[in-house]
Amino acid sequence: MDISTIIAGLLTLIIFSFLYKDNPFYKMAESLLIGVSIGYVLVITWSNTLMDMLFEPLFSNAELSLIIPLFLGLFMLGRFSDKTVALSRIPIAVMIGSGAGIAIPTMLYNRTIKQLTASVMPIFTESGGLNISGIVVIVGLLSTLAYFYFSREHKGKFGAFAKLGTYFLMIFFGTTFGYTVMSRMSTFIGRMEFLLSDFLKITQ
Amino acid sequence: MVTTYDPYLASHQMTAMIGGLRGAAEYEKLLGMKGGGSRGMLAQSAAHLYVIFLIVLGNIFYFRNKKKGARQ
Repeated sequence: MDISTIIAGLLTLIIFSFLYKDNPFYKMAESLLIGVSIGYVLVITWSNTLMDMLFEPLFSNAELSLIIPLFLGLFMLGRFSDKTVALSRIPIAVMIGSGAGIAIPTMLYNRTIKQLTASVMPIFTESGGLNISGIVVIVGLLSTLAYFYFSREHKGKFGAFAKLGTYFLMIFFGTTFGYTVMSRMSTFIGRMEFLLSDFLKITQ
Repeated sequence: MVTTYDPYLASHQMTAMIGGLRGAAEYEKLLGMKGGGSRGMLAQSAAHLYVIFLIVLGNIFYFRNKKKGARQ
């Protein structure tokens, strides 16, 4: 058994020990996880972003246009002092401006227009029968929208239709919760399989 | 997570999605191999049955207590 399996197995058992009671070993494993995660992100950022995308092209290939992001990055550090805090507003403005410029059209297209297009389904099938899923989608969409429409009081027929929207919402929340439980169980099963087969060698 | 991306699958913005352990088992079946996904399905199904049992049990107690409360 290699050392990485032993460490992984012991850390898994230490984390599981929290189920019984909080203890110093659990705290150590928790801190280790946070430390390793931050260290990993730092190394990846240094090698994949700063070295590969900035320092190497700038100093080895003399791509002088990269001086601009270099200075923008340095300006961000201006937040540490009151005298230079104004400088940090420049990269933040660039980030928010370019971020919004990229995100708004993309979001509008992918999350609104494309989703609306997918919601508009024919009520009848090609053979002339009723397209049940299409009707469910339309009723679900309109009733859920009615539930979030607050300019009119939820009473009478409109209220009943809005109430139907809550049932569609409950189905969505229930499904999401069910999937979350399923994914947590998958993770637990994966860990148990690792413990029983790779670490303890009880099963094969 | 799967339900978040399901609408993108329905609108054909995404071609396919492998969701959870079941997705892994389905993918393994598609490849004609048996791996961790297929092995974990029995445990997952048993866990689901246990959860269903707990939901039913919880509902029985909920309605029983409600009935008791109405009587008092």
